[in-house]
Parts: sequence; C-alpha cells; structure tokens
Amino acid sequence: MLLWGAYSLRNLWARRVTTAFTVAGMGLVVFVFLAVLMLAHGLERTLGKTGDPANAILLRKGALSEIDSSISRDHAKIIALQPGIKRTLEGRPVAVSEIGLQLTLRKAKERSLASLSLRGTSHDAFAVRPKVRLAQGRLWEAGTTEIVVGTQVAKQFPEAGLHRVLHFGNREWTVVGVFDADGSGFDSEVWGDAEQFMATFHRTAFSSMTVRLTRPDALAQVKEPLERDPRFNLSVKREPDYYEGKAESLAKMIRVTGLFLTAVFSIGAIMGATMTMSAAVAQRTTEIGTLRTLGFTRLAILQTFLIESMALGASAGLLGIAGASFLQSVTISTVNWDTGSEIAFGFYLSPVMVGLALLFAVLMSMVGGLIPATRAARLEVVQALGERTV
Amino acid sequence: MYDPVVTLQRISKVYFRAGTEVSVLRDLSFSIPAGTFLAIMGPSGSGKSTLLNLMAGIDRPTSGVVVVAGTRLHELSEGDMARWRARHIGYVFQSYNLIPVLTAAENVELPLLLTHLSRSERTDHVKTALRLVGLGDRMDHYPRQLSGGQEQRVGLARAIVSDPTMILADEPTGNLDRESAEDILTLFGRLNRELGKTIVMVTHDPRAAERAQLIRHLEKGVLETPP
Repeated sequence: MLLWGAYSLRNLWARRVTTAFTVAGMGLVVFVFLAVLMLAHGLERTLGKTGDPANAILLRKGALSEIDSSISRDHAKIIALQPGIKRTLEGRPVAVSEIGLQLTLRKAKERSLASLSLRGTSHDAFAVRPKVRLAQGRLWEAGTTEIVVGTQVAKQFPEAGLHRVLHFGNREWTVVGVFDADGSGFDSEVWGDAEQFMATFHRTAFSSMTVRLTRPDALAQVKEPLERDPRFNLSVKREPDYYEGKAESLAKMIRVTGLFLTAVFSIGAIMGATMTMSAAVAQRTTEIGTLRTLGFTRLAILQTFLIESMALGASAGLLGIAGASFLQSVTISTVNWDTGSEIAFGFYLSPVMVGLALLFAVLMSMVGGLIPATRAARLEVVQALGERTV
Repeated sequence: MYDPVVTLQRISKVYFRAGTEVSVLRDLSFSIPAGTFLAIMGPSGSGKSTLLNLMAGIDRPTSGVVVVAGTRLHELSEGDMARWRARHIGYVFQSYNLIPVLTAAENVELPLLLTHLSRSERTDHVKTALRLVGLGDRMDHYPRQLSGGQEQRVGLARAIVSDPTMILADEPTGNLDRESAEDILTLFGRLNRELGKTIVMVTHDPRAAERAQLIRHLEKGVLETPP
C-alpha cells in the first residue's frame, strides 16, 4: 500500500535526527559484517584465482604444501608423459616441475620481516599458467641467478624492486622482471630458475609438478593412474582446490573473529532500533488510537511499525554497503597461516554479499522493532487515544 | 437503513482506578432513530465520552447490550469490530487527530484504504469529501499548514468519506473559535438534513447542542429522561 509506505517513511523523516543516529549505528554493524565477509572472500578468491581449473597440481601423498612435498627428477620425467596432460604443437608436455622455498624480507610500511614464497621453476610456468604475464623487465636467463617478482612483492618490499639485488643462500640474485598474476596469490611470490635454487639450497628433488590438462574434465585421467601407481606416492588435485585449501585457517579465523564482533555489535544495533521504535510508538500513541478508531486492525498497526523499522534497517544496510564498497580499493598483506608465507589480498564484494548484508540489516531492524510494534498493536483504543474516558 | 440505528439496553460501565471501582454509566437504555442529529450534554465526568466510545465500538460495556447498525457489538471479535467500525462509523475527534506526516487528502483517504476501492476511485471520493467541507483547494496541505477550523473540517471529511452509517463526534468544537465552531456545526446540520446522516455529538457547549434536533443530558452516568 503506497500511502502506508509513505506514512512510514515520512515518520522516519519527521524524526530524522534519531533516525540518522540509528541508521548510522546499524550501518556500522553492517559495514563490519560486510568487511569480514569481503576480507575472508577476498583471501579465498585470491588463492582460488591462484589456480587454473585446467591445471592439476601433483604433490607427495600426505604433504600439506609444496614446502613439505617432494618429487624426484626421474619421476617428474615419467609423470610428464602421462595421458591427459596437454602437449605443445612440438609434442612437449605442458608441465612444470617446481621447488617451493621461503625467503625472509623486510616490508616497506611496517619495516618488519616477512616470509615470502620462493618458487624455483622454468619458463614453462608461463605456458602452464597463461594468466601470468610479464609486466616489467624480462624473464630470468636459465642457469643464472636472475629472478622475477610478483607485483605485490615489488609493491610491498622495496628491496625486491626491479633491478635490485637480493642476498639469500650466500648468493646474490638480481630482480630482472616483475610479473602480473591477475590478482592471484602468485603476485606475492618470487620466481627464478629451479636448477639454481636447487643447487643453492642443496635440494635434489622438486617439490611439486603442475600440469595442464588436455581438457578441464581430464583430471580423472591423470589423477587415477598416478595416485594408484605405488612408485610415485602422489596426490593429484585440481589447482584451484589446492590453493583455496591453503587459505582455510586464515579465512576461518577472519570469519570467526569478525562474525563474533558482528554478533556483539548487532545486539547494540538491535537495542538501538528497539529504542528508536519505542520512542516512535510513545510519540504516536494518539495516532495509533486514531487509526484503530478508523478501523485499522491490530495486525495493520503491527505491520505499520514493522515496515517503519525495516525501512530503518534497509537504509542502514545501504549505508553499510556503500561504506564497505570503498574497501575494495584496499589491499591487505599478512601471513597465511597455512603456508607461513606473506600473502596480499583485497576486500572482495559480491552481489550475494550485498544481498546478505541487506538481509542482515533488515533482520536486525525487524528483531529490534518487533517488541515496540507488538506493544503498539496491543494498545487498547481508548487508552491509546488518551482522551477523557468518562 | 437501520432504524433505530442505535439501541442500548441496560448498559453499565465500571472502571477500576487505583483499586477503586468507578461506575461511569448506570443501567442506561435508549435508542437513536435513523437520521437523527443528537447532542449529548453533561458535565465533565458524566460519562459522555464513554457512551460515545461504546456506540463507536472502541470500548465495551461492563454489562448490557449495544446494538448499532443492526450488529450486536459484544458478539464481535477484536478484528471484526475494527472492520465493523470502518464500515459503519465516522468519528470526529476534539483534537482533530490528523496524522501530521500525511497531507489533508492522504488523511481523508485513510478510511478508504480499508475498502476495495481502486486508487482512482479513492481519489474521487477524497476530492468530493474535501470539497463538501470547503477544502477542495487544500488537498496537498499538511495539518501544520492548516488552521484549527480547517483541520477539523479535514477530520470531518475523513469521517464522511467512506459514507458510514453514523457520525460520532466527541466535543468537535471544543478546540475551535466561535466562527470555526459555527462552520463545523453548519456542516453537521447539512450532512444531517441533506444526506440524512445520523449524527451523535457529545458536547458541553449549549450553543453547539442547540444546533442538534435532539438534546439528551447525562448526569453521573444516568441519562436524563426527556420531558
């Protein structure tokens, strides 16, 4: 009923100062709620994007990450010939054997030390991961101590910028290029020649292999024979599944802490809505009596005040969403608990989250408005009119 | 057409205040023929408003039977009573009781929201009612932009817009200056004479009561027998 909507909205406007404070309070809770979801989702998305559904990653069975995995050179050669793995026009398998290590560097802003993922790989890595491209400089020369860094590394670690020289493993490494991995977790990595890294860190085996599948649904064709073969002792996963799993602990911590805070704040917001609506009912007791006299039922009165309360919630929801949308330009860099390495990720807002935030705001306002609305509906007409009763 | 429109049979109303029983109406019986303009007079505390509220179906008697527009009100549930009020009662308040955030037209439209009329039909009814009370040019004004007399005329338009069986008015001129009061009373007279509306007005103003066809006095909850 259009008039009824206008009635509720104009009443909110008539008490605009109180309305504004309540909307701001509830909007803040929606903002926190949304920020938590955006952050956790941003982390998962960054690591999810790190993988390509057309790729499979091979690790030693039982290994939780590339750091504690191992694949021998001989096995790597045999594995690359497995059916289901894509081949180039020249017949070479599109696969890359890599070694995963960690490197400690000083961050720009906090000046604190942070651990970075070091990936010993080959130029084949760019064929396996077509979304990763060189943004500045050039690729490393095979057999040299040249390295390239992801965009987030270049941004956050000044000593790892283009043309800078890093010291690790008792050798000097020159940054000759910066690659862009399309906002994925690779942006927080340092890549170089696998053979050089293995020699420097006295490794004889690779950590993992990533292979490009002939088709995205060819995973089983690679996975089943390799996992069954007792020589290899391998676990084969689709690449995005593996990287998403690496964000599990941190994303869970963000969600649990953030949602706990949201729950606590929401109690305050609900109380705010209750107080605002209680004041509205108290101010409009005669109006309620008048409407009841005109023939409006108790249910109609209940609905009226609930609509008003929900309009309050919807406004708060929109405010919170508007505020949170600005977070999309913010990037956070922290240690991923599952890998021990630094990872940079942003706040990501999805349409589902916008819907959830609005629903959350409206639910808060409904809960907050229910008691005052019920009280308004239960008022006796004569009592509400507050006129002479004799 | 219901005749009589109102029949009260042995009505009593008792309130409890601070543990004390206050008897407001005592064994009161009378009826109001259709098309009557009745004024009920009496001093403060005599039970005038309570009597009006019982006829309006917004209060219930402690004992006795109230029959209005052919309906025995005590047999109705809360919800049915509200719907009955919407159909049969137009109520005019002493303090106008307009909704401050709604325009004159929107205030008048309120009772029509409880009908099945379309939006355009409602608009037509609202315009007719406001023109009838002489406020056709004040439709989009908010109550704060109107004088007391104009507000009460909007209140009257709201009371008649759904063409109720009966108009009940509780001290309708109590807050008005003489001139505005005269305007309202003239409108009541016209509604009664020209449209045959049954009007029951509670007042303690003898000059207002004189405009009615019939005057009854209420004293300490007992209706004075007419000579």
